[in-house]
Amino acid sequence: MMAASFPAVADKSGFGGEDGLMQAPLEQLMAMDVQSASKIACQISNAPSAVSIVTADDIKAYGYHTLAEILESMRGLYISNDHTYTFLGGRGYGRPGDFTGRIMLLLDGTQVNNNIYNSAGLDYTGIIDTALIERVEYVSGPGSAIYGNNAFFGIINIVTKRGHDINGMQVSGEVSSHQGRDAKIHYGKRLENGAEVLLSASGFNSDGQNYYFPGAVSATSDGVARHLDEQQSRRLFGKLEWDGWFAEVAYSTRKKDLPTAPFSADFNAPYSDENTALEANLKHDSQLSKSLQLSLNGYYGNYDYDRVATHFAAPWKLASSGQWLGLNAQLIGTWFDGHRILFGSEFRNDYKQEISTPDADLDSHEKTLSFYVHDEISLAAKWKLNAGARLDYHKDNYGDYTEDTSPRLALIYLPTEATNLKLSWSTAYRRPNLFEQSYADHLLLDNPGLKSERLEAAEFVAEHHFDRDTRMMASVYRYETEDYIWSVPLPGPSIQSQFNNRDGGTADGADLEFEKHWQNDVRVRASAAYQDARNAYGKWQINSPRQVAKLNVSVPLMHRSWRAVFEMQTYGERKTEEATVIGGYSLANLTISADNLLPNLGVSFGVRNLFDRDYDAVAPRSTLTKFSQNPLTTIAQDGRTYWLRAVYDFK
Amino acid sequence: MKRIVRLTFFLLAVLLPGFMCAATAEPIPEYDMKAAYLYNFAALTSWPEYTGKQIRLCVLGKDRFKGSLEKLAANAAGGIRISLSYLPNLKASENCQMLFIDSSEQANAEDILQYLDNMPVLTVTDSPDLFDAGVMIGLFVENKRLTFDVNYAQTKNAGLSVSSKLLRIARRVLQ
Repeated sequence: MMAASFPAVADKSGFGGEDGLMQAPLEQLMAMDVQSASKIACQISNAPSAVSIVTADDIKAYGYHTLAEILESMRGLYISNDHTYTFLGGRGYGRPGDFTGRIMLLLDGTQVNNNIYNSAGLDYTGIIDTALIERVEYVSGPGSAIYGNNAFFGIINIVTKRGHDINGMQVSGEVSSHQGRDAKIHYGKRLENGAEVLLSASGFNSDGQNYYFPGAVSATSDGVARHLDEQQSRRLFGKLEWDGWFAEVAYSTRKKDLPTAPFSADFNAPYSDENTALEANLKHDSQLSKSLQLSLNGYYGNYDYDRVATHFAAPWKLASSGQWLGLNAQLIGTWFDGHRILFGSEFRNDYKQEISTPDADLDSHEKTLSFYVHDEISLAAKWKLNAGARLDYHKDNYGDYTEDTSPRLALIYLPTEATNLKLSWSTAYRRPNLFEQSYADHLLLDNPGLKSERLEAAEFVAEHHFDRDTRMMASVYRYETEDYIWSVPLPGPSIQSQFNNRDGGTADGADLEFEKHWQNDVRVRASAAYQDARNAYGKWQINSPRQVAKLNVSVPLMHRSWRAVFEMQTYGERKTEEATVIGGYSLANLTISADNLLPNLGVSFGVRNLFDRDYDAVAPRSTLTKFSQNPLTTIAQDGRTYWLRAVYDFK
Repeated sequence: MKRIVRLTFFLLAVLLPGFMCAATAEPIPEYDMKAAYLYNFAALTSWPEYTGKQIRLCVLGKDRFKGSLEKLAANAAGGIRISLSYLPNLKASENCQMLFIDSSEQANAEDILQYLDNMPVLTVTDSPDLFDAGVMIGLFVENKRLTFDVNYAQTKNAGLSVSSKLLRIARRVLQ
């Protein structure tokens, strides 16, 4: 929608105002102050909250395969995997089954979460190949004041590379443990007229493993799910930028077999999920006058989900499909001294929302009209006030209107050039999605009366740059939720559950993040996060480790032609869906790479879970039902795995 | 009606607080300044057997200028015209009068300098290692100002003549 367009428009003032720069004699230039370009990435999202960034350099050096692996290296975030989907956890969220955990995922500023489950892919279901990512920004905290519905616990903004960053044709191939094969081809160019083109196609296949589930042992089964871990993903991407115009299409499809037989399916029987996502985005930025910028963005999204499971030895199919169209207009005005005013309006039409099963056909649609205004006010030399809100008018399937207001207020103090302190209060909301509100089957009861959930957050962030390439950030926060949407088992003998608005919970926590880039090109990122997340009854939240710490070290070897990177992650203990507690764990990964092993040929080799640690993820509720005598509360994760990648540039 | 009242209230609440404050003068982004220096270097250098007004500026390695060189190229007001190319590899450098080498090419320093040996191409870098390896001009940020060092011996070997003004205001000149 806007995160990418916002700074893109803002950037234009950078050089344009200094046309005199080229005419000025050198002596004069030498007397002017310059703003050093730090090697540490600076945030581009205009958010007064804590922001963590991973850039293309790290994605390449660590060899990250999926968005989940990128996020896993970031402050306070953690990943749970059930061998089919990857669930994200962080400040105040992390229940497996919540997928992205009420986080809005933006691709070049446009939301990619679907309109059936509000989810967005983080693993091989992800809409973008990591090789095409220039940077990933994680903005923790409520984002509804700008982004509206579903920017609940935070936003993740993915900015893709420009054609020029590829500069030619690039092919790559990879082999990995469990018969993983990956192939990619990218083409990128900046043309003579300044236009940037980027095209890419990629695919991944993996045979996977045979998993053993002790709880599945029965008279008829030895507890091993055989040949039920195969995965196949395909992605296409195209992007064109020229003279204020920006057009982009991203497509991804993934088919995966499920070994865990969720939703009480037959164990060790055919079960597959296919997720397909398409996003198209057309944007135009223009400078209307010296003090007024306009950004227009039209977008289209399509999501399809197909499940084929086996219940009582017979195939059982579920298909979901969503489509939406939207238009977002944004004006940034600097008419008044000391004010930077952002005014936006957005119209979004979710004209297709369908779920069909042998027993039910759901067909829904909704429309949303939104206005948002934000003003960044310079109060005094070192003080800024950031105030704004977003108003959403929503018309549901039955023609009923609701409205939601999401205000945000932040005070920013810049005591020195190198330090900034931000105190913010912000709010967010999320409407129940079609699945939570209307879907029903043998395991789930619908709840037409389900209301929006809300979040209020207060946060204090202190950021200091010790020198140009050393940054430290500390933050403390408190989140309070209200009418939290949560699936609860129905009372009595029923095995059904239902989504309900529960009394809210709280999350109190503190984060610390450190980043340094030395002259000799050694790079370090480190973070530690503590959080205390509780439900309305003061009980510890499911799958919410109290401590999460990360260390990432990247070291050049042999005159920088080689690079070794090491990452270490430590997570505290967690509570499962059955209220048992599972232990914490530490994970280490190592990657060695050479940029020019042969002319134009780069090679990298990586080991994940270097010390072959046994560890478990909390299982989502969906996997519990089958083994009700002996519930599957945890899912054993992969031991040590290897990958080897070669990248060749045609120049 | 209720909705309109609310919207009005909402807009007022957000827009009302009006303070008049002077915006502070922003420093110039480093790479914008580097682009301006490159323009000056082009104007203060003469190439043997080349009298054209068009100077081809090439960039090798990662592009950190983020569009400021394009603005340089679009500016026709000055005495010289800059045309721009981003090199996929060194072999494409034949028609360049100037070559900016980014620090990402550090690992290939030897090959680059060997290839360019005595070619009439004005080489510029902002990497200390590359400058030490023999690039003609090094651009460095020092105390928030952009300064430059000149390896005069290298420019002479390549047959380039850089103006005495350039040598005079350089921080350091290697003879």
